[in-house]
Amino acid sequence: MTLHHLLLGRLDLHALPFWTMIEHPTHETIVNGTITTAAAGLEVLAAIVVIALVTRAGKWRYLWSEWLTSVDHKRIGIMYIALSFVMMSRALIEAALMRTQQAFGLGGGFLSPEHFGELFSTHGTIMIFFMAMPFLTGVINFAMPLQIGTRDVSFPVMNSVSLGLTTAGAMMIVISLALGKFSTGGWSGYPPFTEAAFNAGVGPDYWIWAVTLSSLGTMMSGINFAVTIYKRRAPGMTFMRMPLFTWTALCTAILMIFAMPPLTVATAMLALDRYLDFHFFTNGSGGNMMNYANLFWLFGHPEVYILILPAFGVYSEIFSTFSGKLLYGYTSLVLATMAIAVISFAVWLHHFFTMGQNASVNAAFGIATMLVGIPTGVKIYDWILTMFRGRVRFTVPIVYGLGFMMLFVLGGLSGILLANPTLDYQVHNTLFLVAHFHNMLIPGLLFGMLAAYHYWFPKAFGFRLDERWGMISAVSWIVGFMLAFFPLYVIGAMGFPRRTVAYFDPVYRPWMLIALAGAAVVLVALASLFVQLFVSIRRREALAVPAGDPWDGSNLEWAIAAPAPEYNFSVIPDVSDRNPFMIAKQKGDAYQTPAEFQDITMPKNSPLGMALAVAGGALAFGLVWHIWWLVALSCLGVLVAIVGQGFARDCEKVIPAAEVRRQHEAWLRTVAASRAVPRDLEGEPANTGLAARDRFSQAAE
Amino acid sequence: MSGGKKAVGAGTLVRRLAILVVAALLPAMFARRRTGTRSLAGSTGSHGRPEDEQAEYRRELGSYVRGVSLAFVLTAIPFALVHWSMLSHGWLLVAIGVLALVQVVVHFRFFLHIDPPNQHTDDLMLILFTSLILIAMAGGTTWILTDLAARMH
Amino acid sequence: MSRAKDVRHPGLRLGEGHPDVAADAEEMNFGFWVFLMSDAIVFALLFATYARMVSSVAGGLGPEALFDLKSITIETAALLASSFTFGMASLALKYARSPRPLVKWLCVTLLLAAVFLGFELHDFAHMIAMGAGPSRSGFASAFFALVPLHGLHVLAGCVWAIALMAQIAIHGIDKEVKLGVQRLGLFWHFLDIVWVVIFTVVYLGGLA
Repeated sequence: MTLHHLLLGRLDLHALPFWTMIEHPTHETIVNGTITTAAAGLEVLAAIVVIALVTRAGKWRYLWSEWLTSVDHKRIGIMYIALSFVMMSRALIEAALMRTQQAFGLGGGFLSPEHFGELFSTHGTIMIFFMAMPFLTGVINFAMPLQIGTRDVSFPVMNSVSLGLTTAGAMMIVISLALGKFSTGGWSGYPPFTEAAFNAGVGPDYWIWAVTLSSLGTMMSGINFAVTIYKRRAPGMTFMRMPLFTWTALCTAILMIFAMPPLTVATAMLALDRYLDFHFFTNGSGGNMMNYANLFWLFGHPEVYILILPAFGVYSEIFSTFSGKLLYGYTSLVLATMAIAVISFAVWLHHFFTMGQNASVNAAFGIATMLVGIPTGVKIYDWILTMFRGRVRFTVPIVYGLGFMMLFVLGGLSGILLANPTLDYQVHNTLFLVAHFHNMLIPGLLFGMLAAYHYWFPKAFGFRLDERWGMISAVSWIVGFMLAFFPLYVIGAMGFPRRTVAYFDPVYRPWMLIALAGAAVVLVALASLFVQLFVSIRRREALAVPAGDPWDGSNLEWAIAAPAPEYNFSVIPDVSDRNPFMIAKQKGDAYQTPAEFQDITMPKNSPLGMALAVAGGALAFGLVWHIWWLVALSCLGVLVAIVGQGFARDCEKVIPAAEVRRQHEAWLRTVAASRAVPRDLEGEPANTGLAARDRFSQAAE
Repeated sequence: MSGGKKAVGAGTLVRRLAILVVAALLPAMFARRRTGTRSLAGSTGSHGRPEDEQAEYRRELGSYVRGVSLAFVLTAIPFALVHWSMLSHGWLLVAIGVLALVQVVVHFRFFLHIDPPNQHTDDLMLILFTSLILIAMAGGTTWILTDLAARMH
Repeated sequence: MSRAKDVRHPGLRLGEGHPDVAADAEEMNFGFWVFLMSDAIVFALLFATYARMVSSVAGGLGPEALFDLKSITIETAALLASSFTFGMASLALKYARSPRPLVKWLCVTLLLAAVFLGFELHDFAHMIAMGAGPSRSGFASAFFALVPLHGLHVLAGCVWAIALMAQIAIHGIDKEVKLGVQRLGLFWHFLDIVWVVIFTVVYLGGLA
């Protein structure tokens, strides 16, 4: 063992993205090397620019004490969503690159198969674990405690640890662009391809540790959300009085608690195979790679509903709010949500119908899969009936909602097709499948989360998002999605295998070009989101809604100022029915001064989340590159941080009653000074967050 | 005691088993005698008075003693069954499986204090739901992989 | 009536003599209980994997040749006894006026855990010496993922117990220590349940 190995493990100059093209300059290495180097350079440059800007503004202390160590559920939620946007940008650019490659892939194209493999692997891994999961975790973190009338989640420090671990996992993927190569095994990382025998490099290790960090963080989030909803609801808020988004958050949390262990087990076993020569999934010595597929999808299918249920909750909120009607069929929506959550644990085999089990096993899981269509259908009808005879306002969230409803039904129908094992045998592993799951996840998850972002943004920052750019973005997403993925159904049905870098039959080409155009429109949609944020921040005075209720909402989160105070509620509300804030507005009980203010105890900041993010990230990095001293050191760091946390005392601070009274009264003065706006003026600067009671207001029956 | 399987006469077997059971049950009987005041302590409920606390302490101590005695008995029986190969292979598996399930329930009841009629609904629901998922996952895994293995031969 | 009110979370209830923990105990214990259920799924999947791979010996030694019932008996006795002694520690926390009995029972528990871990390590060493280390076969891999994971949990419980005793030395028996002992109790008794399934499925099942 040389000194170099001792210090840096297997990390050397070959890890640099441009090294191969210098050593072996061929046309292929130069093209691929240049692309990777440019991307890595962009990443490093972005990091330097951010560091320089923060330093120049002198904001490090602010960043540390107000954000990174904060245990406030709202700030943690916002940081999750910020992480999600950053990762989404990268993964979308990768998607566009893949579309470009396939558009010009007749007879070769410009990307090497290895590079293409890295692209679809990082794209999938990021989109699931570091875009979708942080986005929905962030939205639940932000909105759920407000909806149930509590001041924080049950375990605020653990919440910050969840964020830290998720971020550390995301950093693994970020680093893999600049140092070494990522896995080429797809987001599901199937062995034996990802075993050491066929893939001895760092790629699969990056994947394993990124995913493991994220799954640990997600499991903790799940525990946190479930316990919060079980134990911290405001007095009087029984289960059947919870807002529907909270219901979906609860079911998602339960899925996280029970679906993350199989993933952890699968990745841990793969790691044992790779690092310690175990034989779980190897070809020889009694290994059984089919068990990997089994374990992975034991996680993977509930995961699909982890992704989709929160969006269902968001849609329930916005269809009701922006139709000016109460939600139709609350009870059936709750039951449908629970049914989906339970059935989701009984369908995992449909991801590997073709593995070779006998027809009766396939039939059982095929039928279970089709059953999911029933509760989902119930939901769709409930939402339609919520809008029926309502006065639907075409705001950005409802445009996403309508796009979702039409596209999701299409995707669901293609899912019912795939649930039939005989048909699955025909189109399995083709672009038909790729089209199907994008058709579920983009409308079913991303549109929902973007709608949530528009809907709750004013509560987080005190001003609305610009409607015009929002609309441009929403329409671009919908159109871009259709252009990019509908052709894939056709090509898939024509037999084009997924994850294929090039093809030799010109018949695919026109469809690929349409899909490329779709990818371009989607990039426009993404850019519009950033423009919208920029424009909204500049226009924040005109868009301000300090009174806190810009959409004439019906749940507790709208009954407080915007941005929400650190302690959420000056006094914990008493709930007597569903839609408590709507009822209060109708009775004229909203915006009252409580009889008495009390001191509020809130958790203090904690550096534990950051400490574990750094130690966990270093541990993963050390494991990837076989830098054993770093592994030992960071294990020690993790142990010290966790044990040390047990010795922490005096972790709470008190906000005096007088301060709460001062803030509450200041807010009430703002409300008194605000002009109540009717819904027609919702998008105008006149909307400062106080809703007028007009004849179109929601009727609480 | 060695791990090997010996053929032992049926009479010897029964005698050994009986001794084992009696030895393990002794502390349990002892405990039941000592906790004769259990129902009384449970119903008065007011705390703070030393005699009440004493009674509650005795009740809880008795519960632990009974739990650990039962645990030892329920462990000793399958160990004995396997050590002396007292049943045919199939029945042996059934017997140790059933005994393990009983022992799990005993541990839940006496050590984790899961007490169904009085238990908080949340905790009970959680255990039942976990059992459901656990059976679906472990059972499904076994079903799928066994089927595959059978078809590979 | 008071009993029904008292039963708010799994594990030993500290009752009205400890008003300081009453507010937090329900939430903390429930949260930890949820974590344990999640952990139970991890073990369940390892059991299912083991059950599937027990025959994948790849020409190597199988359970009959490798397991020693005598050693397993000692390990089981030590772990069952430790569950009882931890129960005594919980009772000491609830009723004793000084920290001494609590610390004493925790130390006894640690001692029993050390016996358990010692014999278990000895078993593992024996298996590896017989040429049945984890890289020998699918069966050996499944065994060495399942059983040592339980051992690691026990080890983590020991670290936790030591940390709690250090906290007692610094802070006395305050709210955090009480909540910690309650949760460690849940953890400890839960690990006992996992061990019951391990000795049944892995050892007795393998030797039957």
